[in-house]
Amino acid sequence: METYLLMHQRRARIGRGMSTVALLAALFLTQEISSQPSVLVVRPEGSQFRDAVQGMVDDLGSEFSISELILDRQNRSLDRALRHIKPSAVVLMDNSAITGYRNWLTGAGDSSVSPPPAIALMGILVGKAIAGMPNTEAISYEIPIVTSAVHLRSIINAPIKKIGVVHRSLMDDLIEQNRESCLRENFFIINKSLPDNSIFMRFKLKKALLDLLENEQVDALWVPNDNILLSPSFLTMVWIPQVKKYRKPVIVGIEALAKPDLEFGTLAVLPDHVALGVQAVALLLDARENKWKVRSGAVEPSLSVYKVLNLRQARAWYKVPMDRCKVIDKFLQ
Amino acid sequence: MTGLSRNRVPALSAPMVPVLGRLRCILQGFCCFSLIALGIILQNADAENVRSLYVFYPSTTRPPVFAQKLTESCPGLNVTVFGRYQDFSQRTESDEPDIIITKPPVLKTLPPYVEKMRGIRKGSTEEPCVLLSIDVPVNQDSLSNIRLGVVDFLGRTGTEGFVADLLGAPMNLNRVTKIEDLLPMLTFNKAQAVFVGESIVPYFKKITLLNLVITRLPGCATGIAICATREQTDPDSIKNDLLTIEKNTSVLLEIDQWKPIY
Repeated sequence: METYLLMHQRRARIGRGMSTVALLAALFLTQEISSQPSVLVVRPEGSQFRDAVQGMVDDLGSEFSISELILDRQNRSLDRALRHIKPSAVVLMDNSAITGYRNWLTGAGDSSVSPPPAIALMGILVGKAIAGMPNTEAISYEIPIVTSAVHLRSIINAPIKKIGVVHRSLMDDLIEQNRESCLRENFFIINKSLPDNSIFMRFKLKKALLDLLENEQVDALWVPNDNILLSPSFLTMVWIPQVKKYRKPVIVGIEALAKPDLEFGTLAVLPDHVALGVQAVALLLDARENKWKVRSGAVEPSLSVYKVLNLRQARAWYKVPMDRCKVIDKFLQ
Repeated sequence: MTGLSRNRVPALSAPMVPVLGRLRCILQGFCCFSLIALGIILQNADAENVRSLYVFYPSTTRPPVFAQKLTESCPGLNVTVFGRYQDFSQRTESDEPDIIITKPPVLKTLPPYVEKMRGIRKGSTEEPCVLLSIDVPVNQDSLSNIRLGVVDFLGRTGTEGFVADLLGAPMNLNRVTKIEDLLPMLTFNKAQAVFVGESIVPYFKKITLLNLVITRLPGCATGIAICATREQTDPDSIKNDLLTIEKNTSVLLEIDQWKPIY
């Protein structure tokens, strides 16, 4: 993986392929002339990460200087960046960045750099990922079920109260965290927790889905982003046939799952990455006010979402009128 | 004989065929070129005549839906709708569209534009701002002690300044880009109240079962909508486009009517 560091100018797009040496030189220079707080963003390559950084850059303007580090497999570049930049705070995007920073913290006993506060985002089950890390808080990447369900209810021309969820046990905590906020909106989560590993997963998944759709008569399904439960074979052999049979609206977390030809997801609710960057800025500003202390272990929900509607299914199955779809960001038909 | 004559004719005309063919090709090519050139000229002339309309108007209608409806309502205008202030201000600065529709405070950040029409709702060009909270109203004496959710429609510092001006003191703000994202702020207690225009309240009351309580803020109001053109634009040349906007956009912008300033 390519490693580089880049000083951001306001509204500058993120470049690629600059040599580490040249950039480190630029960093030294900037450190000399800059009196602004500096933030180091540690992230993998990818457009969604670039969008989040863009949100930060647009929002912070020239008040902070933002540097980026695209992580390589070793942590040497992270150590080097932290030593040279001496950031006021770090923003960790994705679990790889969180793990990298955790490893650096573990080995930082002999370092001359005192660990800056960290804000973690865009990581899977980020609360678990940052557990035990000092001066680190996070923004959850999983969209709260209540947020998605409120949007579905405002669109679909049918009552939605019981929301069925099939998940593996590693998501037990996440589902429980969602239960209370759902209740306040009169949504009842009815969940089926499957073991994390099982050679009978397909049968267990089918049984759980049938139980929800037939016995519990849920009004909608919320599908977690779990690549085991959403494997192509489970999707084609279990999920799609059941959804087609019972015609219940399905909330998914991946746009591809709401493609009309798939005949599966009704509404995809995804994180708005630019807005996630802006949300991270709010935490950075709070940290600055609190003398670079953050609420260790705290996890904020993602506030902004991007909504994609499978218009073909919504019209054919639920007779959704267009005037209910004003808040949709993208239509698939 | 017949066979010979048949043979002779092609023998005599053989060199002529490619020449005529070439001439015909050249003529056809010339015609095609002329038609294409004419098409390009007409298209450019058309493009010059089509006015550009940029819109940044935070509402519960997302930009793709807004753009589609606005394009249908104003067929003579090339419409672009923005969802973020930063994108709108950057593109307006670089592209200099002929007409813009936005919120009045946003216009103040765009100096080369002058207002031509103001949106009117319930007989006023301004609408009251209110606070929405869950279960209990907001104590206005302790506003500076709570966190307010607000739609970021002027950038961070601009929005902070705007709210501080209206409420008389700097506030602790949590910002979102879209109006509908204010609801999760209340749900998850990321803000104890959200600061919105009164016209937005029915939307929230419709989509949520939370017990939303309105706190009215006496004397706190902001402009609803404004339509402006570039300073140097000849008023006569743009009159028809403004008339189209005046007639066809009020429902979409959720105003009662436009009040012309010219």
